[in-house]
Amino acid sequence: MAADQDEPTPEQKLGYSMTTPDPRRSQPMARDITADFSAAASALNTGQLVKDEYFTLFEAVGALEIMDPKMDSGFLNPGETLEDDYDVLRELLPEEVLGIMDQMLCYEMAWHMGHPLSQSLFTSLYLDRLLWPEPKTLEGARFDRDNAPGLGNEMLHVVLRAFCLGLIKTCDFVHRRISTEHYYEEEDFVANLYYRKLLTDFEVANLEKTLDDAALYLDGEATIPNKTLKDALVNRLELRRSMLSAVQIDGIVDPHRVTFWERCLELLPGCSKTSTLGTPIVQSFSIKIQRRLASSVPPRPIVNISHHEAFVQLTSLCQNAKDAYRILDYHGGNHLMTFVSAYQSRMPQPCVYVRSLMQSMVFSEMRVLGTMSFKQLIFDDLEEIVLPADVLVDSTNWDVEAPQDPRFHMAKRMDDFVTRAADPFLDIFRTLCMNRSRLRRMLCHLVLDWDSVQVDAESFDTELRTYNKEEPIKESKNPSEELWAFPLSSWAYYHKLRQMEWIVQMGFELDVYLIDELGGMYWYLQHLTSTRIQHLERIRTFTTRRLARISKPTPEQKTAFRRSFSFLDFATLDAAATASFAEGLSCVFSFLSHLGLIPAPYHARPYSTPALRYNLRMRPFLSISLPEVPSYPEFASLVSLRTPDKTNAAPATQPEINDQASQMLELADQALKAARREWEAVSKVDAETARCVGCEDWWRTSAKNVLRACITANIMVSTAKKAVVSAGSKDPKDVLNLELVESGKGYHPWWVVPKISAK
Amino acid sequence: MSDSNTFIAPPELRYIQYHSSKESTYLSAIRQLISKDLSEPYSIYVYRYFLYQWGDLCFMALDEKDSLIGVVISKLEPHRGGPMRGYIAMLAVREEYRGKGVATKLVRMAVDVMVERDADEIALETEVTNTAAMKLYERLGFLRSKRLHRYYLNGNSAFRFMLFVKESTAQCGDEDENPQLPPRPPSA
Repeated sequence: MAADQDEPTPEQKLGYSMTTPDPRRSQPMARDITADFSAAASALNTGQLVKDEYFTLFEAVGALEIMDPKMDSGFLNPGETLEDDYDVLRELLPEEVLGIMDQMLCYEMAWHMGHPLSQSLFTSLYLDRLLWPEPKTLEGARFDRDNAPGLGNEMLHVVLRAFCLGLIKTCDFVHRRISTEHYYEEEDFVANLYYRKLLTDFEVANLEKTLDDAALYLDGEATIPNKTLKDALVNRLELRRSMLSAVQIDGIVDPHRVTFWERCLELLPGCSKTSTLGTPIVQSFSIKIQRRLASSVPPRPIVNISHHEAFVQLTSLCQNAKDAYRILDYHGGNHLMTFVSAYQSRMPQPCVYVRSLMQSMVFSEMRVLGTMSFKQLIFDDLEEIVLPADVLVDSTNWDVEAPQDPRFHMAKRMDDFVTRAADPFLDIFRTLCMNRSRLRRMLCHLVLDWDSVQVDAESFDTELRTYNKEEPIKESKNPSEELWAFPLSSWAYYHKLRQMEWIVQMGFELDVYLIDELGGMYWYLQHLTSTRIQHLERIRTFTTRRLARISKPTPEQKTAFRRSFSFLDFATLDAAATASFAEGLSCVFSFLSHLGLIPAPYHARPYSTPALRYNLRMRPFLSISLPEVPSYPEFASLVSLRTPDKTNAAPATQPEINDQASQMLELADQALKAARREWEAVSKVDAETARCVGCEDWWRTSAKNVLRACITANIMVSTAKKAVVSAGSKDPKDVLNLELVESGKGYHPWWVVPKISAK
Repeated sequence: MSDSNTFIAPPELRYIQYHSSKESTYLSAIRQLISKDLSEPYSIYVYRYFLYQWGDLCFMALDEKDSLIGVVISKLEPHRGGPMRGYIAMLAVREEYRGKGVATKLVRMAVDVMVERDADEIALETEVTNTAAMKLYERLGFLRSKRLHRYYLNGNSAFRFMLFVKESTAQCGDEDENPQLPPRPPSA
């Protein structure tokens, strides 16, 4: 601090030390140091910052100015009271209870949408009374707290209380589920409970009973003449009970949980319709509670969402949670990956609770989908992609106990490999469950992990060769060159390539690329998928040879090989369809920039250079060993970018420009026609082959949307071709209209198809 | 050629570099201008954090009466022991002066000093709906490097913008995960 080093610290001045309390002194000696402080402060210039190296921007931002009403949550305006004067014990009418229930439902959904409890549910004076001070027993969680329960007012003490308790316990389970899994604080969810417990210690059965009792009370209650109103209340209690049962922690992977979500979905339309019967009590929610919850942050407004929005949110939560259980029907690792990916790509993306639920189902308590070991999953995936009926994944190896037996060593090394690859493999699924922005960012990290898994897998492959007696392929032309299968590293490379493709595709979805980058990024996508096709061919070569060497394959072996070839076929088709479409769009964007309808790729800017911007864009891939990122000059020539050299050259004549434009369109046309055929083929593949059993509907919707985008691109190119022809030797720019489709408004977020029309 | 050259900055404006001796004259106006569009104001410490350490990376646009029309506040320091990273923390221009190239001019002045002082790269965040700010940075040569989900207090997402200034930066590994300035909706 600014004060002289020899000056006593404020603690010394006060006559005690913070670190070594003097037990003899029960009370510190207080002295007014205002004058000393002012004197010390006057030695500073205005604006001079006195800080140690640990005072970072984070601390600066966290600082509050006391007495500024926008920052100081304890600040009271003249005449403002500290506490609210709303009487939570007042008699409530049935319609008021209904109104409060629906208000709470809105705040519950606001919390699910990522807002803190301090701006949503915890502003309820009713909930506050139940939760603070912390009740020691469930019976103690009452609105009248320590006072003896009075008679009457059952609408409050029985009905609303049961609803509130059910709601709190549901929040407890939701909070615990999300906290167990991977999520991003504040982005996805705010976990802060402000030192409150959400009835964590109380048995769910007791809460269910409280809800049942309340429903029974309403049933026998003759004083509510309006039957619709009464039913509306009963339905809400049942909705609470069903949700509570659906989210409870124990047995979360039990497929029967679906029935509770189904019941919620049955009840919701009725609840939504009757919400107009309720009388909301706005005064029963207060921002003043925030002062007690979080005094060190500025006051923040209550987040109000409409009944309609809340019911939409809740309905989609229930529907998505119900759908999530479809994952339990396991058909193989690739089906599982398609499921998670297709499930999470739906718009709007499922909320954080459901995304956490899916993570738990994929892997929790050391089980995959509640039944399998992680080793089973990885072996199944290895078998399907690279090792059908191979000795390396033969389960009998694990029965061999003799150390001299090669099978003993194979089993041991394969176990080691599973240990090495387990986390990165699980991380693929986990990453797919993140919000879309994080998905791309996490993939950029994950792909580096997979790069090293691939390197390590090569060592495993080399060592395993000595046990499984693999013979290399020798080319007749070059007999000294030996080609080995490298099954484990091939598997790792395959997954790594998929992740690299996703990173690029997510860039389109998240609108990360500028218009002049699209041509280049589609070229790179095409480059990655073509690399995947070559890799699949390599795998096929070794699998084919291995099958040929089995003199009499057993039916089990035949099935395993058939399954693997079917995978290789489909993966090749999928990669080819992606490559063609990407190639076609790359040409379309090159065409547009050639005519000057969009800016040239990486064109000159006041700062940075094209090569630097290209490097920035390729940064996620620069440290990956294989496939290598092309250098900027290579990239520029491959993508036929208008490099600075070309721009400086004398402008070509209009007929020359038009001729080149036609050639570009011709290339686009060929690629997009192929893409259309291939996407038609993809969309017709059966679910088993497409590895989408369990999520066929979502997968097919997505594939159809890609096909639609592809057909649109074909139409755009033929429009452009006609226009260029009709332009003759004039500038086609004068006859063409270009409209860029807003992000998220196209048929498919991964395929940006510009609208081209004739003027 | 930059598209930003097409803007003609209002001639009556003066652009000056901040200095701590100017705090009493300008700080309250700076705070006012920046807080105007924020749901929650920054405390005085945030401003002093930047201005005291990197006052020379703060530029102000003043009218003929010396009232504050626009301001940019930034910093420059090694990023996690690696590249020298410039960071544009705040940018604001008075509403009636927007669209006249004032912000571009301010940003360019800050970027020029950063480059002069050996920056390897420059970063910043903007709200995904703030088209004007995004265009400004894109015209200068910044790229969107990532999207940040629900980054701001109002629940809106942001883009991280990056500009590589030097060749050496290109080979540097991963960018940081954490944004540098905790979220407030931007005002530029």
